[in-house]
Amino acid sequence: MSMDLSSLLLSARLWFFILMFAASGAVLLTVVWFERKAAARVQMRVGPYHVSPQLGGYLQLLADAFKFIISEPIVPRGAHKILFIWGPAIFVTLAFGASLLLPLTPELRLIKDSSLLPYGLVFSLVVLLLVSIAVVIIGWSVNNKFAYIGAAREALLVAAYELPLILSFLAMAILYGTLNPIEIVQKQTLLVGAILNPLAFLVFITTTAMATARFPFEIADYEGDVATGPYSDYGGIFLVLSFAGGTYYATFSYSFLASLLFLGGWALPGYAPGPWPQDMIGHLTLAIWVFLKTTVLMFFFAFLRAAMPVLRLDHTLVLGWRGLLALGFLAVLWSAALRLAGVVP
Amino acid sequence: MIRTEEYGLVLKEEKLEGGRRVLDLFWGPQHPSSGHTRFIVELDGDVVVNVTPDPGYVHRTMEKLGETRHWIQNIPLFERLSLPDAINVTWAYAMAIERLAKMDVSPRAQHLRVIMAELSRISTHLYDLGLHAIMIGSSTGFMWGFGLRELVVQLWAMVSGSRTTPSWVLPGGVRTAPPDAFYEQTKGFLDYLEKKIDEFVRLVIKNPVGYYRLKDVGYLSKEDAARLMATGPGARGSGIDWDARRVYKYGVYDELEWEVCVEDGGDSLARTMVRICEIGQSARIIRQALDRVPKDGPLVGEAVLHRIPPKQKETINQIIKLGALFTARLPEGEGLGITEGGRGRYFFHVYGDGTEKPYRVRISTPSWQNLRAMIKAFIGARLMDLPAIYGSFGYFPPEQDR
Repeated sequence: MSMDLSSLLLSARLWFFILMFAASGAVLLTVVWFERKAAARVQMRVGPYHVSPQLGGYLQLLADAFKFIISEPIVPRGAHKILFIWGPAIFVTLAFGASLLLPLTPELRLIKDSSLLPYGLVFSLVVLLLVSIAVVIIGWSVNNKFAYIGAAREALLVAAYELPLILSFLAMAILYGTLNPIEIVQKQTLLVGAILNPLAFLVFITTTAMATARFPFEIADYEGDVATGPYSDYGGIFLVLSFAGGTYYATFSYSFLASLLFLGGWALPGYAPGPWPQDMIGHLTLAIWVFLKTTVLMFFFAFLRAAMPVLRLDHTLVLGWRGLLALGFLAVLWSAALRLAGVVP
Repeated sequence: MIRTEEYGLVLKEEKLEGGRRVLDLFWGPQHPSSGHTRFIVELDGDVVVNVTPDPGYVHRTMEKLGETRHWIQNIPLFERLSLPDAINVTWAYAMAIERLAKMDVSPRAQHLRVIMAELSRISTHLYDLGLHAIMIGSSTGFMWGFGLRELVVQLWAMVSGSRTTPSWVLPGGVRTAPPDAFYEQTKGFLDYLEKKIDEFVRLVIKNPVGYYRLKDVGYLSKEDAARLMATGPGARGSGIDWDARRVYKYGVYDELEWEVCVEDGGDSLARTMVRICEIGQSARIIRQALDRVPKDGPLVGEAVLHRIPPKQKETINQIIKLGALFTARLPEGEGLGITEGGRGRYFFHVYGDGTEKPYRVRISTPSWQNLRAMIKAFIGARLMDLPAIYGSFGYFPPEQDR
């Protein structure tokens, strides 16, 4: 019995699960804090400092979340109740669930059967692309013209960024010749994917900004004309799960995926961790290394807020359909050329 | 579960002439960027086909209230038409009273008024640029605009004792003299302002994203701008070379070297660049006026001076007590006051009937004048361009509704 308990407590799946929940929370706390502090620094302000002044206002987000959670959840009269309430839950589940399908280190993963890992990688992208459906559901259920226009914009944007995003993903799959994330990371030990195929990296980063409504693509929920669009009638816990928190989870999942595909994941030259329960320290160190890369990518997305206005909808669609699509095809061709030339590991 | 026939999308589709179907959107008065005005926007897809303004949500009966008060008490009232541009508004009213009651203005007050009015113009432009920036999504531009304006209001506080409501221009002169520190700090502020405005242009306007939010958006031709009587940056952005400061030569503007900023683009970018250019010209005017302003001398002209009791005459170089003016009545007649504010021309027409209260005060404000031109610029734009056009006119509902 004690054997069973210890093997349960030390199972890679359990540790992966706990790590993902705890670390994603910590990463989000840090990223939001950075977003506020960096923007304040640029904007001749102080930023949050009333909550936990010793930590530079680091815990402000917790206070904000607490405030949102205890505030009254209001469902507008004309709204479709079921979808209005479940929309944000679907949103955040899809946004965070996608990252659970990816491995954190060779052993720390939810998908135990390593032959299923390639499916996990593809499926995580599929789940992430479904987040936009949740946004459309939210916008539709609110029963408000601004929300409806926002939802229509989201649908237009999905059509513009989906194909380039898939193309950049495809380019990396061709480059590595595999979809198994563990092999993908192994092949980036010396040269990371972002250097091997910078075009694909550029397309992936840009489409990620579009998919997660980061600046300058905060278009579906643009405050200037549609007053935060799909989320215009949301408040309290619903807002936390969708606009105020859910989008950050989506950014986290995209960044996590990008850190595996483009930034070399947990790969460290000349270091390979031992088997899981014995070399726990090694695995945890590698997990932190992955989270660090993810956080740095998210810092970039967060900082865009301080530097960018919002791009026009029609220009964004042109950018997606002409610029990014062409770049995506070029990235695929570049990968194929590298593969044919035999440069790839 | 979901029955679409019961649950509609509240889309009211109207059949217009030519069989076009539109979605009408009630944009305002409670909207992040509409201000206190409702715009009924008719949309064909993403394109705005018609906009009907529905102003009046912040109508405060300024003209009627002006008839119920002593003419000196109207100064703080009319200041509230447009607090960012407080000096230019009150100057126009004071000018109307001066012409009506035949008051003269002391030379020192003329220079001080020019300095403060240009600070007021800078304050309005920073206010509008900041709001325009947040409307196109740049929170940094918003914070910079308001952060810089904070320095202007501190300068105002040094002069008048009040940050946003100076009530400083009096018919016949000005109320208080600035302390010596004001002259030095204003120069320092102008240096910092010019540096920071360059950064603003690079970050918000020359930023590729911001540039294409403004370029070729909300086009207003020169003919339309003239026909719809646009004013201020709304007119000068369309190539109309008109400025009340140059045309009416009030204050000491004709003695100073400066240029009227005109851009030919007619789009949001041109109107914004007029604003940027005018900040530079205002700095130029203030620097010259600071060198020429007499450091000593009475703050009001002879006509007001002889009403002031002897004991208060000792301090007429520092402060004017208003008590003596309460006994002054307006003669029968009328007076006009026109100044160029940050957003355009302020016009006051005051009728006196021999009592201390004006018989009638007629006010025309630039935002009201620009409204039709702005609607013209709205039509044909895309929905996302509405805030970019709105901000470029510096439209300000409290000023428009009076």
